[in-house]
Amino acid sequence: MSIHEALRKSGDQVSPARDDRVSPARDDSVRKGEHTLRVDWPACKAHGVCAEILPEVVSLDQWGFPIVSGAVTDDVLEMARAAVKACPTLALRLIQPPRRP
Amino acid sequence: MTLRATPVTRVTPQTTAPRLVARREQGQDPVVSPGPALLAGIADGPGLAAHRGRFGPASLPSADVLVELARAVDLRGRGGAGFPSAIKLASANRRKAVVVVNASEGEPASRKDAALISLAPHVVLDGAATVAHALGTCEVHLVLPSDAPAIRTGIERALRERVAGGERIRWRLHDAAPRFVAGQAQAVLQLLAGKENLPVTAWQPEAVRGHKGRPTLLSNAETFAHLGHLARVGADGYAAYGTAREPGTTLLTLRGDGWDPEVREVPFGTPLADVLSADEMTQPLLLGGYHGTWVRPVRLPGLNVSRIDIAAAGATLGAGVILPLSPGWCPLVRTEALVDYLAGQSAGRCGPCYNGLPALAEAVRDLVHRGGPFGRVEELCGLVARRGACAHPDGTARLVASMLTRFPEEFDLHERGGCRGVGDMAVA
Repeated sequence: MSIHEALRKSGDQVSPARDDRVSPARDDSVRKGEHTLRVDWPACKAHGVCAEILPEVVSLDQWGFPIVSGAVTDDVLEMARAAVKACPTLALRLIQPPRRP
Repeated sequence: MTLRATPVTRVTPQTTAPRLVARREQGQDPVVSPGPALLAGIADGPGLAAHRGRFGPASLPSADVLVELARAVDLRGRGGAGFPSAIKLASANRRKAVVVVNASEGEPASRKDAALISLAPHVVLDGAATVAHALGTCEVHLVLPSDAPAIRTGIERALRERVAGGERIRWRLHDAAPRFVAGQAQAVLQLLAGKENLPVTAWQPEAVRGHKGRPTLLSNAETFAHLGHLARVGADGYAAYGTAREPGTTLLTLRGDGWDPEVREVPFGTPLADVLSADEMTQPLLLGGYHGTWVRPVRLPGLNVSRIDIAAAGATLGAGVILPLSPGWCPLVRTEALVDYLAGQSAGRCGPCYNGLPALAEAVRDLVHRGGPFGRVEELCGLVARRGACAHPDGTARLVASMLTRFPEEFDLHERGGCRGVGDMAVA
């Protein structure tokens, strides 16, 4: 088991202040081989550009911070790249699916 | 931190609302008893000579042997996440590795790391030496709580003894900020880098890319103590305590934020009834600290100190923090106070946390004291979880979720204007 897999598996028993979790997304709707979006939360300043460019994947909460739901499917991949580029604080990253061995 | 009898001064719980402001400045020193493995020699004092006399020199196996030992006993990290130490060690076992001993213990109700490094510093330092040798490095960072200067003094004394004894490790001391999230792995790496001691987004596990981009074995102080002990006694010796599925011992903090706090080392599989009083076994129990989960008293008989058993009961052992509810307290009011405290512990960097936690605290207050809606609380729990650089919001949401599911009778009582608490505890 790689450290990445182990970290994903340990996610449910993690004690939060000491969290070592680093998996891009533990969203059950994400299938293997799909891109995901990750927010750099301390960098995000709720400009909301991502939700305008990519409403298929990103919505905003009541404070204007992004809610990323599900994977980035191939049909919106280009828009996802555009959203990443457009973020004024560079707080969005597109995470590539782990390469198959 | 001393071995001492129960203190004299005390305030009755009824006159003190559970507002948890400070910990070590205000809290009582825990009573610590000698234990079977890590705490076996604490009655001899913290000196190196007594330590060597009892345990002998640190054992220095190769990385492969140490990884195999950790795998054989399924050693898990003791910072709370319970991550397999063997995987972490194997990942960090590359060129230019760095070792970081995290004794910052940001969790307010946890006192075990402070007790361990105060009373048995060389047990932890031997473990760090074992790991450093295995990873082929002599750079070890020790992260200590800045609000407990006595701990630093004790560690400095212990390091002087080791340097005088000829140990060739470059020990570096760091002072962690006295706040909950300062002990989180990424926050610790920030501290080491000379930046503000707060969590940032981790794009890679620190074992892969940590301090200065180097592979970094960052673990809790107790974990190092276990690794040192394991290297010394071997897998069979380690399994002399505990169960077949969970060999070894673990440190517990009992009542860490209250009266008569206690730190104990117990074998895995020890019944909770052996560490709690008969009265405490009849009360709701907060397991795993302020980011933990409530367990109803009906589940307590038969429950053991065991990651596996406790997970099966829908809770987590976390860093071994066990908080029985004091008699006469209401678990809803207690949770409300804790959530209020946790909201204040947000580092204020991640939007969903600095907006969501105060809103959650307000919604919980509304629910507990004014019959406000469950739905709003649940919605906010969902909104904060998994949306931060660290999992402070996740832990807070978990605490709230366990309150929502475990105390239907108490909610009924509150709905009818009652409360099982006494005195001012029941007042909003």
